[in-house]
Amino acid sequence: MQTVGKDENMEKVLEVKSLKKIYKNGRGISDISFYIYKGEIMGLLGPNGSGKTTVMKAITGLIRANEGTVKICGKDISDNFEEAIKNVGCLIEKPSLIGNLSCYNNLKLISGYYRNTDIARIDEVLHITGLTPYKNEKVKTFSLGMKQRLAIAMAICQKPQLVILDEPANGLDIEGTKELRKIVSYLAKKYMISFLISSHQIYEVEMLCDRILILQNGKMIDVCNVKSVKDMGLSLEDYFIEKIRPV
Amino acid sequence: MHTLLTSAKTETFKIFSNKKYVVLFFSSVFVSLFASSVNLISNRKLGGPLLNNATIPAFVLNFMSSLFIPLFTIMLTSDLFSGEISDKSIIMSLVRPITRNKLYVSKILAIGTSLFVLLLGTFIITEIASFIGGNISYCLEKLPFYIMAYVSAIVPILLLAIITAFFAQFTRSSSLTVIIMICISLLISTLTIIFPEVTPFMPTTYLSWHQNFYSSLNFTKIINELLYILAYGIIFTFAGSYLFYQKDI
Repeated sequence: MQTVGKDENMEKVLEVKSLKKIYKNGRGISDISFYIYKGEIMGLLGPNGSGKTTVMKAITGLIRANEGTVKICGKDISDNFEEAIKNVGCLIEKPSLIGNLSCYNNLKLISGYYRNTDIARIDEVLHITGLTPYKNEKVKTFSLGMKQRLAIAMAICQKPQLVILDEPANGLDIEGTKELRKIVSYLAKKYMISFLISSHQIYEVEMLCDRILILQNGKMIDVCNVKSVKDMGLSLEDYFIEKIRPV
Repeated sequence: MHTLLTSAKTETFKIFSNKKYVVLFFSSVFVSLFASSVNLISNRKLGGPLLNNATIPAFVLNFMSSLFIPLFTIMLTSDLFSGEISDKSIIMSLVRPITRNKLYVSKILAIGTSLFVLLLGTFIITEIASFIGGNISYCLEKLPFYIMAYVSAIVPILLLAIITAFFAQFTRSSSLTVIIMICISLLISTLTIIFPEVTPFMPTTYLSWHQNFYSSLNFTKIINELLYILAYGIIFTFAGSYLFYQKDI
């Protein structure tokens, strides 16, 4: 098990052990093990088809793993799904929103799943994501970037301990990407929310993440501390290319 | 229970915001008003109504439940299951603190609720239409029977939704699910023509169960058919929810 750069006694929000999922076509992931600590931002890097989305889907129970365990805040998702997933907010593949409802009502509908969500929290997340001026507008009129922001608002609405974002900068313009980075950093620092973020935008990952996990062909090839990479005098891009280069 | 009800509410919202639902609702209003108008016109021009005004609720319910509502139920159910899986919007529900079995049941409940609202609206409009220019005492006499018929119409519709939800687990396309359901209906119809003895064992036989409530009540027949509906409902719910639980999104 690789636990780079963090104290073993720190609270683990996510524990993935020996995760394996093989699809009918023979592709998939195997032997994936890692931790995410409280307030940590972890990047998931890998070439197309390396299994990043599969890892995220297995963590959130969207696919059934063949082997391995996933614990969120100490709760196993296969034994106690409802309790485990309560602590997770996520945006996987693309924002899933109800187009005919307003931005505010989409959030209100989702907050209904969580017993303790305060209605005032909806205004708070709208403010954090910069959607307050559009709160009463129907979501079908939103641009992709605004939908992405709303999906992030939905992911953080119930004050989760872990947020999983799959390619969150997809569809965002330069300003939107910068905003996203600010939101993630703010939430991690202020509320100690942990993040697992997959992205192809390596500069974003380098600026945002504390640690990165590199996947290739469904295997975990490295977990490293971004600061350590920089200390070695390498850019994350060079490090990544070196790691995935065939031997 | 809290999550089940919340999920059912969310799914019902989705259905109410669906254009297909709005179109069907207005179609049912149109059919009711059309039947009533034709009756009024024929009464004035031909000297007598084409239908007995008091039977308009039964006429509209038969018309709606023989074509519009089953087709709509199939489309709605396939949209909520295979449609949401194909466009990945189901992820929004699956990553909430609700088990897949509860989500499956909540979707069926939402379909039941929205169709119940549709039937209720149709019932009110048809009753008003039947009272206009109709024999009031006869209309009042038929009223309890029609209330029972409209309420009970939801039972075979729910069975159809449950069967569609089961077949939706085999596809990732809502249109393919609709095609499969239409093919199955045709196959069953053909089978019942060639082998009439299998008719009682076919779930489609009981889609007109509500017609038992139009006049004198034959309780033996009503309960017997209800048991068949329940049996099919339980079997298909368990099988469908098991497949849904196992499904990779």
